[in-house]
Amino acid sequence: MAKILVVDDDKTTLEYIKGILQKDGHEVFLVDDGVKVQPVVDAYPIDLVITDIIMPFQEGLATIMKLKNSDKNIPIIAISGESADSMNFFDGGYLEVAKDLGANATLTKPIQPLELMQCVNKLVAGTAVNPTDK
Amino acid sequence: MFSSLRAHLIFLVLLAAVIPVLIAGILVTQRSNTYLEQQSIRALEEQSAGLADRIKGFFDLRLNELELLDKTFGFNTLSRQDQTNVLTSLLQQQHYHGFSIVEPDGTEMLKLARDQAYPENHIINWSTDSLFQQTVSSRETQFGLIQFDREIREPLMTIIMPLFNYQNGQLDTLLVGSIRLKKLWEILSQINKSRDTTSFVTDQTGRIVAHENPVVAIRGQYYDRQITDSNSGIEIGPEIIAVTRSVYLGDKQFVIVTEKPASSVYALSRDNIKATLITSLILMFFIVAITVLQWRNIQRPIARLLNAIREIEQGNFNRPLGEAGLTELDQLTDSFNQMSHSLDATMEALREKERIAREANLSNEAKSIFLSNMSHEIRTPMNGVIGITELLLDSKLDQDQYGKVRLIKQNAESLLNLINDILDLSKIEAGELNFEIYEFDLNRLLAEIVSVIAFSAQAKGLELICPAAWLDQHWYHGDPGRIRQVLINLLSNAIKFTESGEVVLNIEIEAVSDQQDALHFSVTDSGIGIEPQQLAHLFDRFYQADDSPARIYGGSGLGLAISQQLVNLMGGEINVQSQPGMGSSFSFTIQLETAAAAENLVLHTSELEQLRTLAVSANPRVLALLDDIFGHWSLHHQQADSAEAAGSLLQQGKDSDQAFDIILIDDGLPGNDTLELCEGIQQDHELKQMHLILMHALSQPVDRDRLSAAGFTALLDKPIDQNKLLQTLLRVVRGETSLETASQTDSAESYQRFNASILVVEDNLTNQQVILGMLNRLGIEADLAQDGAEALDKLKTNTYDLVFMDCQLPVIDGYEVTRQIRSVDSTEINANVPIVAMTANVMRSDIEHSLKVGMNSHLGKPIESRKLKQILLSWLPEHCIPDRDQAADDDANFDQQDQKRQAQTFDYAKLSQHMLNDEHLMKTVVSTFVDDIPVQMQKLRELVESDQRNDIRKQAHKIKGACSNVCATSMQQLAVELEVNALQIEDDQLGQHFESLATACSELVAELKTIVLERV
Repeated sequence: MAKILVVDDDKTTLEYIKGILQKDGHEVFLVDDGVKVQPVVDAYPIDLVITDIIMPFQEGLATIMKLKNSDKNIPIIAISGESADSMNFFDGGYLEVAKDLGANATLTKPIQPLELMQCVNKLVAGTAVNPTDK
Repeated sequence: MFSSLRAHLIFLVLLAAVIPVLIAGILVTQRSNTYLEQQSIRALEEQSAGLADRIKGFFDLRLNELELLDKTFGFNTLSRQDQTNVLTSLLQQQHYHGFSIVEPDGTEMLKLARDQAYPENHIINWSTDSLFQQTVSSRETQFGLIQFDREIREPLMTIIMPLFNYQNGQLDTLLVGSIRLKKLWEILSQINKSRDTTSFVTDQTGRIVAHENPVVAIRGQYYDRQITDSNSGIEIGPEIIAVTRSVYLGDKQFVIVTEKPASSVYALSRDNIKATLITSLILMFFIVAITVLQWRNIQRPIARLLNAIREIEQGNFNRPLGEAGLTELDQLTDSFNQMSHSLDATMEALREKERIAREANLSNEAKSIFLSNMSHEIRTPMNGVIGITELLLDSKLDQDQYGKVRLIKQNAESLLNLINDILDLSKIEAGELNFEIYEFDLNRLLAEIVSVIAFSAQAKGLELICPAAWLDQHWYHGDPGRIRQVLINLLSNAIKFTESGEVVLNIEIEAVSDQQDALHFSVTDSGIGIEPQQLAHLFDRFYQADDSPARIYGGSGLGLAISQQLVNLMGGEINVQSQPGMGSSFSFTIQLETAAAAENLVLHTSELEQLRTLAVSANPRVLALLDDIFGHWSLHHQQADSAEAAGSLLQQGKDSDQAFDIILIDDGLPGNDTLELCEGIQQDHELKQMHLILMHALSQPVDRDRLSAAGFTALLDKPIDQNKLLQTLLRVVRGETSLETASQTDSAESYQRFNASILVVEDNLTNQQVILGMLNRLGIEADLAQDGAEALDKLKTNTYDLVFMDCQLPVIDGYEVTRQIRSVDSTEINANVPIVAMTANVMRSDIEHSLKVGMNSHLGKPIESRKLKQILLSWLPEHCIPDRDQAADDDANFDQQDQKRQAQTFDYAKLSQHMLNDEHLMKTVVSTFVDDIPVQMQKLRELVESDQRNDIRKQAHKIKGACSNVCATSMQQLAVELEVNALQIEDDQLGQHFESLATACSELVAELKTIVLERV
């Protein structure tokens, strides 16, 4: 079981990711903006951070940069919407940047549950347990 | 040390300012010290010279005084009384302490002392005094040593002057005087009073005889410095500067020392240093202040540069900086602006490149996706085409139609094969080909292979014998799919290049160890063979044995290359032996790990033991195979290679009262032999009871009425499969079989209805509806169990033909239910019921797991009706009732319903799958969505009203993300459109966009509420 912090300004996404991750027995923390990440990371031994890219106050890229600059080496999964047009730096492009900044994995919305589970379990390997059936 | 430029600068400036000041200070101090020293020495010399003069003068005066006394008064001619008077007056001058008048023999004649007269007994004899003797002998005035008189506590110096007789020049008397040196002290203190110098007088031994401080002189301290013989000397010590000067009184030397403490010498220079230090401190302060002030001027533009660089870091290029006001910084700013400008351009180019790369990547990805989709997208319709043509071929067609349909099928198959080959080869070359290792039944694998290729072989009139001998049940760990691929390739090649005769698959199994078997496969044909020189290139890509056969036989030429690579990957190698015109033999050996049988096929051959069978075939291999199989089953069997031989054997049997129970007749007998033989049997009432089984090539159209009329009770598809043969024989013996059901074809695509009792174990409502609906359409009213416990209950009371089992059930999951059904001590009446796993996970490991716990097959979710039918066909072939037209209509209806379902605001099936079939999670997420989305829409509305395009875009993006979680396809699409177009569209269009999104949203929320949230 791992402690996972999910950062997204969309409540539905937060609930969804939480539900999916809880199936695998993970403990899930939710915050709705990047500015709230640091206090959580300071207070709990977070094993993984899953962050959205576009958020109102502190965006995902800044969050990733800050996390990677701190001495804790927490794995990060960046998520963002599908790139509406490939010309657009707004979406899909950001995930590439996120990778450059040190995100360990990226996922595109809509999040595929199995993909998410696999990705998460790979990154928290060691703390993960076998997925429960329900 | 100084990490900031500022500290660095200040340090440097201070260094630059202070060091010269210090050096100058030190130099000036040194110079002034020297000057001061010289000045002091000069002053001291002057002083000591003056002092020496005065001291010399003092003693000269005393000498003159006494000499004058003698010369003026003729002192020794004076009466004693007068002498006393003169001397007494002299004593009053204070320079003398006392006088004595002594006879040359040393007798003291008169003794006078200041303020007192010596009593008589104080008269001493001078004759022993060395100074007196010296004076007497030299007849000159002598100065004596300085002596301290303890009574008056004063130093006194004795002077002895000889007094001569005027007439004869005889030494008459000697005048001894005591000179008070106290007077000299007064001189010293007078001289020193106004100065910071100390002067004192020592005798030649260094004893201080006169000092301004009387205590020093009284104590008779010695001057601790070297007294030089020379007239004068200078000594410069660390604490003191001293000048000495010698004064000679007769042969007596006196040294006048004038000292000055160094501190007073250097006082001025100390002041100088102090002044210098203060000046430099003030200077430093000013310098620092100026530096700090100036720093601000420098630092501000630098800070601006720094900010600009940070901006660039964050991706904001092209931020021109204003003038800094300093030439160099202006230049820097200019350069920076240029740099950021060119950086901007570079980044732009980079982004462009990146975009192109991404597009290329995308297109590459698209290519691979396309390739992988090909399997699905092309194979599915191709399978349909092939299946339907199979059906067509099976129906009543005239010769022309039959030929054309066959052509369609052949072309379709070669197209499919080509696609598969290209896919495989590209995978192998990319190293992405994965073997999926799991347990499999070799017999079942062969049966599958046969079902694929039998038709094409038999269509060409070839005898396909596969396998060529009895095969025990064997289970292995391996990738049956790849073995199958290789074998099918070799077999279809053999079929392709063989015009007449047979294609035979031989398998020999040899135990290598307890766990390993070596499997020798060989595919032998009686085809055109391969020329020796062509053998070498046989396994090259895109190579076919000859141009002409390639043209004749078609094909991609990839098959053998792929097969060889696959066999290589499995640790073997394909070998070829061939003789042109005689045929070829391809063989390979692979080693496989044996596995425990996942299901035990119990052969109920006991029922057959007393049967007498006769097999009739023109092909010796067919007869040999049947002989082998019947031998394993211990049947009484005989063989005939022609209708005539069969006839005679039948006759023999009749005669010897050992009539045959079953006769298997190959439909490949030459000419009309088969029918004639049947007719013969039909006409013989003794033989009428015998069961006739037709061994039938799939390619031949079946006229069931005619066969029935000819007396056949069963059809056995060729090539002969031992399991199918057993089933057919059992059915025939039990009398359960009819011609129709026994002749069931393997076609998966035909429309059927089933008459079977099926249990569906599924907790998810949608999935329940889907599978129940699909089964219903296939004529099956299935039982439903909501969970594992219910399933176990139902399995206890009802008999089922098949169970569909969801693997992820609450409380007791599908695997556990299966384990309980299959357990050895299970009392279930359905202990051996086939169980089909239903999972959304189509991972090989999941399927493996399901097989391990005793499930028999696997059906992936979402359930496709075609796959469902395939499962039913393979597990319940005897329950199938062909009902084509009705089924076809139903299919069409169902598809329409499917379409309708997808046109809804959200995709329930997809949502369910997205939630991993977890109702609770679905409700949680959907209710969050339903609560939150109006808030988000309200935000969007406000942004639209205030026309904040960029924020609209962000908000639409967010809504898009939210929609994707509930699989709300249509609303998501509208959000995407808004996001993409937010920056460009006109105001009124924006409004329209928003309104349609809002409408979609309210519809969606309403539907989600009714369908998901208000569901019980």
